[in-house]
Amino acid sequence: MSDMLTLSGVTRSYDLGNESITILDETNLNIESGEFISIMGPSGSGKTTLLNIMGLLDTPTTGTVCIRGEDVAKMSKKEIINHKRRTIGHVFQQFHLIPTLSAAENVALPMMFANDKLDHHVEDALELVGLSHRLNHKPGELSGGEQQRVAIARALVMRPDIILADEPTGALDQKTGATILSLLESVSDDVTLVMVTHSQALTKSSDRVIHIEDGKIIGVTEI
Amino acid sequence: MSIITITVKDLTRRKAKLLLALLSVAIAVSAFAAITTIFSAAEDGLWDEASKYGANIIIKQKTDQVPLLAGSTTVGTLSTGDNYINESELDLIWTIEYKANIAVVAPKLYGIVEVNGTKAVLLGINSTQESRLKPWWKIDGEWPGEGEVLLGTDIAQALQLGPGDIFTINTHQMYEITVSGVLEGTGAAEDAFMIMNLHDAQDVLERPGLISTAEVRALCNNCPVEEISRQIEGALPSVEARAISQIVMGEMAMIAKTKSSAMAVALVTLLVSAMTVASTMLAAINDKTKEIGIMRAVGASDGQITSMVMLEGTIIGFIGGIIGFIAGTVAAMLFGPMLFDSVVQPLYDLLPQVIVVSMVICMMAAYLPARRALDIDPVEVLRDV
Ligand SMILES: Nc1ncnc2c1ncn2[C@@H]1O[C@H](COP(=O)(O)OP(=O)(O)OP(=O)(O)O)[C@@H](O)[C@H]1O
Ligand SMILES: [Mg+2]
Repeated sequence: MSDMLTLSGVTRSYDLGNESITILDETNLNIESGEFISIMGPSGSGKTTLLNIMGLLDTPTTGTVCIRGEDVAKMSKKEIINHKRRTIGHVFQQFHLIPTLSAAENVALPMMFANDKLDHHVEDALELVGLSHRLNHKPGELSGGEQQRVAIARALVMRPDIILADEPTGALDQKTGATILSLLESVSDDVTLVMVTHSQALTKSSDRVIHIEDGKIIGVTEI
Repeated sequence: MSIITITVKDLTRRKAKLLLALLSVAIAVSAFAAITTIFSAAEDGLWDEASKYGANIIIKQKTDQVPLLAGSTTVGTLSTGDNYINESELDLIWTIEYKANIAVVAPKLYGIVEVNGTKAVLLGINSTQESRLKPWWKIDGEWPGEGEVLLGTDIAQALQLGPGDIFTINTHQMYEITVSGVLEGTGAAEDAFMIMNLHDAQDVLERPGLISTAEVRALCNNCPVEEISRQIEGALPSVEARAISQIVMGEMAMIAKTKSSAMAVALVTLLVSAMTVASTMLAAINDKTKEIGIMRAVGASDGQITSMVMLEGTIIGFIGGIIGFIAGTVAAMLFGPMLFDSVVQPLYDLLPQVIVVSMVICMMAAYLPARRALDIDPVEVLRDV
């Protein structure tokens, strides 16, 4: 297997007036292509921050992030946006769909920004999450579980290499959460999946569980 | 799906704010459209009037010091002194190069006479020429023939005379004269005049073969009135010919001045509306920071975010421009006639210009909101609550 994402000495700190707080401290992590990684840790430990850095939404204060061995800091703006569009897909706890757009339009959004005209990818992605019959529904007309499935379809539509899911079942009841998890597990055969979760139970099909506390990786469980 | 679809859907969701922005753009644009339409009609009307009616050249004696205007009141002083032109000299007008453009030459002789112990101005005219020059004169009765007089409304009232009455004029001898008609009030000097056949007037005033002035009407579209005046002066060495277009030009300058102050007001309105659009759009950006954050996270570039905001401004400008044009044109057609007494027609040529101006203004107004949208950090706005 080849290296997909590599974080070396990644520190993220914020300047708050005169003092500086460190949220991620000298984090080293290598994720291989096709791996399913779970990240666990108490609230405020830096899980979301870590995920944002992996997803190129945030930049480390020091340290390097490499995608397939290539240093993101050395990439051009265009290469970075290309990775955002084609390499990485996001799934959020609060779904984050656009309320004015239908399910199909929400899924088509990344494709529109990437200037791809592959409409059948939109249909494929919605079919994969089992929502072919809800194409024209607005997020407000869908249940929480359905909304999260639309969000997963949106993350999949560009056929990315990495899916970053931040507590994807956190806003759902247990039963719905379980279906979302199995959906993610089913797609994880083809992509590298990094999922933040609070629940030990949800980590059982992952390859590794990263334990994080106070911005530091305190342990890795291989499964 | 495209950026246009997203922007239109977003705009229709914020109907109240969209209406506010549209309204302010439409008001400003309508002010511009109305001002342009009304003043253009006023200018057209002025030229029309100047070329349709009345004289456009006035001929008088060169030594004359008294400024003389068509239908003005300063003519009384002309009877004193020797400010006369030989009537026969007028025939030379028909020798100038532009003679084909001369439609009317109306000679006039002014003098003072006494009626019932009061003094009155006597005006001698050639009825045929004068009636062609002043088609708007409304006469109760007839234009004066030989031995007849046409009375201005004021003097008719003062003397208590009407059509068919006979009265006496006192000069070097007594003249019995019949009232051929009464001229309806024109609001000009002739309301006080006794208007007679030129030859009768020359006889009464003892000025045989003389006239005080002549009004000339040159017929043509955009004709070189100044040049015709010069040619008349060349042909009639003792006279001065002044083009009335100079007077029209003066009025034009006044209209232009009024127009530029009105435009300045419209410009302020436009600035205010640009600020309204900017603040409405800024508020809209603040309302949808989350959505912009999502778009960022799924791969929207700086350029794509900017074009969405700019497109929103352009749409507001386009629709506001059209509404403003219609509102402004309707306002111009309603209020124009009250302001300038001219018929106002829609200026369809103005529509594309108005739309372009309105869109450019709104795009400028969108600059700040676009900057704000670019500043949105997805990490901050997507942080789960
Ligand atoms: N912009 C910021 N400025 C200062 N501190 C911040 C900022 N963003 C996040 N933090 C802090 O960084 C810490 C880690 O945040 P993060 O969201 O990564 O935690 P988390 O592990 O995802 O927590 P949770 O399980 O509650 O989602 C928190 O204490 C948070 O308050
Ligand atoms: Mg978090």
